[in-house]
Parts: sequence; C-alpha cells; structure tokens
Amino acid sequence: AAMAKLSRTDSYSPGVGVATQAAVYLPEADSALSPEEAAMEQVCQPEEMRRLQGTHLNQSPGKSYDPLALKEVLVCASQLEEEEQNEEEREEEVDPDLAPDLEEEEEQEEEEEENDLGDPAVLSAVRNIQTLDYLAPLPFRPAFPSTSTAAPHFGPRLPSPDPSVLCSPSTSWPLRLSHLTQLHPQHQRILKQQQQHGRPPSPPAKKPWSQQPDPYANLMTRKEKDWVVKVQMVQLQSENPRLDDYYYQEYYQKLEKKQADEELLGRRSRFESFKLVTPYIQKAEAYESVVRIEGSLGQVAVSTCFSPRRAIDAVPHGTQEQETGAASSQRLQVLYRIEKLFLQLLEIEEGQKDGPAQPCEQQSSQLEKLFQALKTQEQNNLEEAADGFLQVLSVRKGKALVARLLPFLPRDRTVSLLLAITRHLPLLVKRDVADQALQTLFEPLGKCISHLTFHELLQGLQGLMLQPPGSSERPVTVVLQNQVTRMGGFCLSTGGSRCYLEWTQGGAAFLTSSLMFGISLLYALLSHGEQLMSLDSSLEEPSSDHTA
Amino acid sequence: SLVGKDVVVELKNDLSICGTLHSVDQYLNIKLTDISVTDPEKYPHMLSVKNCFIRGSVVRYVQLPADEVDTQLLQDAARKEALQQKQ
Repeated sequence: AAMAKLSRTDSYSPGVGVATQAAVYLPEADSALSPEEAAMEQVCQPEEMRRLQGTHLNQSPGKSYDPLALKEVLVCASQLEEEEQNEEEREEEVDPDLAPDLEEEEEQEEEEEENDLGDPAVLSAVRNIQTLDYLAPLPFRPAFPSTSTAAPHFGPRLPSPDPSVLCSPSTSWPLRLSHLTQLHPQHQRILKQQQQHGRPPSPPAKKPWSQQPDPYANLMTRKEKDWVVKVQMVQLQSENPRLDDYYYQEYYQKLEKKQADEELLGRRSRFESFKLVTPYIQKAEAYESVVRIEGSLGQVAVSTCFSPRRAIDAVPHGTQEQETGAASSQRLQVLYRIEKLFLQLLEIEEGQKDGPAQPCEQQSSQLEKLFQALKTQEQNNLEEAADGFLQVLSVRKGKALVARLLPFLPRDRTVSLLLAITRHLPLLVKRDVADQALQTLFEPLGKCISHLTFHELLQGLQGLMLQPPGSSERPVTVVLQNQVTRMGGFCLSTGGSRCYLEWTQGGAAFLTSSLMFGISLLYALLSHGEQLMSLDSSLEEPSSDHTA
Repeated sequence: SLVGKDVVVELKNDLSICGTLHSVDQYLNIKLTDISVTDPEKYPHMLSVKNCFIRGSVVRYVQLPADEVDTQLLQDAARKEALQQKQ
C-alpha cells in the first residue's frame, strides 16, 4: 500500500516537517486503507480499534471526513503494520540486554519513524493489544531543534549516556554496560574488572534513592528509551572508526597488546583478537557543516559530534616561508619542519601497520625522502646540514621524532645519524637541560650501536674525542665532567662494567638524564667495541686502527 | 577512553569535583559517579550527592590521570585530525 511504501522509503530525517507527511496521507488514505483494514483485522480487534475503523467505514469516501480520526487510523494502522513486522523479524530478541546487535534495531528505527501523531486514545488502544508479545514503542516525536539537520552526522564514537540512567529509580547508577554502549572490548573488560574488584566504597546497603515510589518512573518504556539512544548512536556512526576515533582505537589496541604480552609470559592469553561490533550504517550521507541559505547573509552553523560549533571559517592565509630573521621565527621554522616530518612519519607507521611486509619500494622511497628532509642535505656544506639536524634534535618533539624514525631507517642512515649525535654531544646535552628528553633516544641508538662495524665504532669514538666547531669542549669531557660520571668512567676502565650498568640503570637520581645519556652512549660504544675485539681474534684490520 | 577512570573537574565557580567519569558527549557535558568535593570543603558540601551531570559550558578544567593518557598518541591523533580537516 502507498502508506506502507511511505513508511519504508522515507529517509531518516528528524527535522523534516511532520505536516507534509500528514498532508500526503490524507488524499490517499481512501484507497490505502482498505488493505490496511485487512491487516488490522488479522492482528487484533480491541474495542477502540473497531471504533476507529467504524468511523471511517461509516463515512462515505469523497466526503470531507474527520481528519483527526483519519490520522488516528492511519497512525494506528502503520503502527500495527510495523508491529507485525517487528514481531516476525525479531522473534529471538526477547531480552535486549543480551543481544548487542544494533542491526536489528536500526531496522526498527526505519519503520518507526512515521509515528509522529501520538494520540493518547490510539496509544492506549495499541497498548491493550494482547496478542503481541512485543510492543513497538510509540515515540512522541519531540519537537526537534529547528536546525535543518537533514542527515546523520559522523564523528568520534563516544559512549552514549546509558539509558538506564534515565529510567526508574529502582536501578542504582553504577556504570552499567548497556548493550548499546559501544566500548572497545578491552575497555569493557577493564570496566568489568573494576566493578568486580574495587567498588566497595559505594556502600551496598544504602540505596541511592529513597524507598517511596517515584511518580516519574516508567514514563517511557524500554523500547522508547532504546529508540532515543539509537537516535544518538546513529549520529556517532562512522565508516572508518580507526580514522575518526584514532586515539581511542589505538590506545586500546596498545593496551590489549601490552596485556597480551604480559599474559604470554604467565599463562596463555585468553583474550581473543577483538571483533568490534559496529552499528549497521544506514545511509552514508555526506553533510556540509556549514549551511548557506540563499539570500541570507552569512552561514548557519550546523553542530555535529565532530564539531559542535563552527562559528567562522577561519582559514589561515599568507605565505608560511617568510624569513623575518627573528629568533622566535627561527624556532617556529624548526617546529614547522618537525611537524611536516611527523606527518610523513605517521604515514610510514601507518603503512607499516597495515602490511608488515617490510621493505617495499614505496616505503623505502618515503624513508629516504624523510631522511633527506631531516638532514637538510640540499645544502652542500656538511656543517649546515648537521646544523639543521641538530636544530631538530634540540626540540623535545624532534627527539621523539628521531627516536621513532630510527627503527625504520636502513642501517647506514642510522649510523650517520648516530655519528652526528656523538660528534655534537655537548651541544645536545646543553640544550637538553630543560627537556631532559635525550633518554628517549637511547634505546634506538643502543640498538644501532650493537650493529656497528668496528670502523664505524672508531669513527664514533673519535667523534667523542674531537672538539666540534663552535663548541669549546670535547664531547667526552662533557660526559665525564660530572664527578659521578667520572666515577662511572673509572668503573668502566677497571672492568667493573657490569656493576656500572646496573648502577646506571638503577637510575642514580642526582644525575640529570641528559648526562646519563652521554655516559650511557659512551658505555654502549665501549662495550660494543670490547665485544668486537673479543670476537675478532683474528685481526685483519691494519694496525692504524688499533693505534687510533 | 577515560570512561571509568577518576577525574577531577574544576568548574568556573571554583568548585572542584572528583569522581569517576561515567560518560561525556559532544558538548563535553560530563556525568560523574561517586563524586566527592576535593580541596578543602569550603564550597557547598555535596555530601548526599553521589552522581552528577555537569554542563560542559561551566567546566574550566578537567584533570586527567597522567598514566591513563598517552600524550604521544594524542599528538598523533591531533596531527591526523588536522590533516583530515585540511583535505
């Protein structure tokens, strides 16, 4: 029937006028009702229903009939039809708490949207229907805010307010994991554990609400509440949750991995890889977050989950590569460079995550580009190139960038970076006093050191001994300046390298970490050298290396 | 990702509320459970209140537990978002 078609094909549009739907119904109601009558006959025959049917039948078609009664009938019929469908489509969903399956609920929403003329008489009629186990909710379509939002919105997936929160007072308000709260499985587990172990602070004896019955309880049925929540959930759907909700997904993935690793050490991991249940996506309509109405001055701000308020179009204009020569602009330049490098690094990491098949052509070219940008090697002067690199390293963000980049680079590149670092160690240490972030570099550099050849190692050690231009001290003196590090150096020379290692790792608190970095680097170099010496008992290197 | 963790919400009226984060929405309205007023309780004692809903616009700060936040990841997320917006 025409009405049935209407109820199914109308897109979900909260703001579309109610009046239009009613207007459409009226002229067609005549023909549309006859098959609906049959449907109504099948389902049930409560008193009021018959009465409503009767009013229609008594009226001759073509005459002006009571629009209100007609609407009631129409609404009633559509509801019944939906209930029929609901009943047969969702037989198994007895208890919604068990099935976290939003797909079915989406269908329900599709069918319910026409119930906008909730007349109390009709509602009570429907409620009296005995034959249906499962009543479709009859949502009073609330006056939706006047924004002309005609499409679902995308945005980060936030856990929606729990419907149980809004409901009757007999339920207390702990963190209930309703089936509609779409949390990452890891997150859910953590919350459940918390609930089991550590929520005795909330006294179990005391009830959060008083014992008197709440007059405002149970105004909405569970289905109605679910429908409202679903309305909100639709707005949170996204096709690419890993991109839209990057932080949440990555954070819990990392956590899960860490826990899995820990589990592997102990017992076997019993956490299966996560299968995230995403809500069924009905329509992927793109939306414009800024709506321009013809003839108006300015824009209407459409608020979404992703951008609640977008008042103006703030687009930065102007060139970015202006040389002003001020010190602050220099720093800004460096920061800007670092950010560009970070974007490239993120791309590489993303590519790594998707396909662990390591050295593909595209990735290596990306890496090379990144390395060149880092070293600013377009300058022929080697010193300037190093200077650019050092500038990057002087910023905490830059250190993090290099530390994350090092595992990806091919060996020769990492070696050159390492050599640059050891040569300019005093400068780095001096500039790191505020940040104390040099230690982030130690782990990847340590790995690099363990793969050094003897020749490269010597180069590194020589770098420590030489005085770099622009600095008044040799790297090794800076490292050994501190009384304590000198003691460490002494330990090294006497062969007490083992205990020294423990001592540095124990974290002598009075040492600044940047100095620790220096001495740790020196230690790593020397110990690697020792290793190489012991392995290469048949020494083929020329004697000049030894003397060096 | 901080749902279920303890946070301290400082409001614009200088009230600081400590509680477990129950939920948050697009306007940064916050629901807390098991709340208590941190700081010396010179401000309205909400002794009987266990759960509350805080409108987003009255929040000045939200203090998060440091070990539950991965700042590097947060920076990456911000970079990705900025990239997306540019496109």
